[in-house]
Amino acid sequence: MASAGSGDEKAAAAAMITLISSDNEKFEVTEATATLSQTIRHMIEDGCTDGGVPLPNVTSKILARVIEYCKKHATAAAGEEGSSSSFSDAAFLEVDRAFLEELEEFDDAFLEVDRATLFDLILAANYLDIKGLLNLTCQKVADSVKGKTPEQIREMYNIVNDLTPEEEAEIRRETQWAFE
Amino acid sequence: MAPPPELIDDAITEILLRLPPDDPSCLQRAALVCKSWRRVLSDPAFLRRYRAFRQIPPPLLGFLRPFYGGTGRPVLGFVPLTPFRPRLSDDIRSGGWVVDCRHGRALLLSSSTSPGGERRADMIVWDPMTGDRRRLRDPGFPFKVHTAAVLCAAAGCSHLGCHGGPFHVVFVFSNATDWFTRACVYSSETAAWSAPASLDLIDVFFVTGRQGVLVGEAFYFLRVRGILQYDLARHCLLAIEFPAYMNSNTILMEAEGDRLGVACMSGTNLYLHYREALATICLISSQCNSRKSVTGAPSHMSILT
Repeated sequence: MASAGSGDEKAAAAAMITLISSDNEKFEVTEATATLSQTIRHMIEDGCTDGGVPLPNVTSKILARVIEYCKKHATAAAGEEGSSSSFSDAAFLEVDRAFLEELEEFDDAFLEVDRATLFDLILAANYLDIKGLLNLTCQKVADSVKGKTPEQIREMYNIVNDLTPEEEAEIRRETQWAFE
Repeated sequence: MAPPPELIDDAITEILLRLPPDDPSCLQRAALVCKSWRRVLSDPAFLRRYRAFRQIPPPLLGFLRPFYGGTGRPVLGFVPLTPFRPRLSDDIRSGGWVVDCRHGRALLLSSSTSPGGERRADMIVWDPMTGDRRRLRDPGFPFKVHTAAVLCAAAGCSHLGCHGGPFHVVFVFSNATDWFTRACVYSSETAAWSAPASLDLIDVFFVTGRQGVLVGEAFYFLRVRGILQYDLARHCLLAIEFPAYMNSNTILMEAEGDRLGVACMSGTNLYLHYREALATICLISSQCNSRKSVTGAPSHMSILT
């Protein structure tokens, strides 16, 4: 029936959210994808997403990556909700395991970025409050910092040492054991 | 390639929270990267979040124990289990026995007897992580037998990083003249001892080398023939007697559900007792015959977490 069909289309259209990057590029995403971001979820709940959601802290390059992550993980979340009734437990576990492996592979590939992009993703995940993405990206940096000297960490992430020689000497004196 | 953007403190926090918890030197080295990393790491709130994020108890850093050199006097040493090494200055090394270790602090106690027979106890509350220390003397009453314990005094504290906060020291003692047992509490905030709580108990002999155990709002100290309870909230003492078969080969511990646990070896039997909150004197006992070895903290060793 025509009227029912247009109603469905309307519902589908209403569930789309427009995200606007700092360089004014528009991205249409489903509500399920957008609400992986707690920041956007709150905006939707408050009804202030009409005319698009401006994200002045996120460039189109980074936003495209963030959306790619959210799309994949939103599918995973939907899969978890829907599949338990349609499979027997054993089959469900099998599908679940395969899907989790696929998701892990996706995450590993997703992290194959240069360090500048990684930092940009962390800032975006923090600003948009996307727990999974924040955990993924921050863990990658934490793992890379582990076992490194302060000099190696600064070099890796291009961080300027703004500690005075006195401050540096004081920290080293206080915690000499950490540098032996 | 563009250099990585500067991170805001929130993002730095999120990264540093994910550093491995088993090696504290990781955090120390990160503090030397730049001012903002140092600022994040030296915020006491960070340490609390770090522990909560990992959902693990603080790591076991090592053991404090006395070593005997040529002088015959014990010298405090540290047996490390992680790269962490406390700075053992001379006053700490010769500060006496570690009678207690809790909430990131160690309590060192050194007692001496004057030619007139008067006993005194000098204590140091020492934070091995920060090196902070506070010296205090016993409350000034005559005593023959004594023990002491330290605990954080910050209200509602999770004890996941209470360095530099207020603390209490509980000093429990009895003298040879009236044979009353008493407890006084020292507050770091007022730098003064409380009036004593008293109990008419004449055979107090604490088992040396065993720490008091804090369960809920009460400390339990092992005596030769039983347990001495000091209730922090009510400021009162209570004696709990052991069943006849129990001996001083006993370990006190905090059991599940905020209960006091008592483990006692007698022959090849291991007796486990749990004290229910409402039962004041009787111990509820379960017994298991075990020929397997049972290990507890060796006496004269204090675990530092």
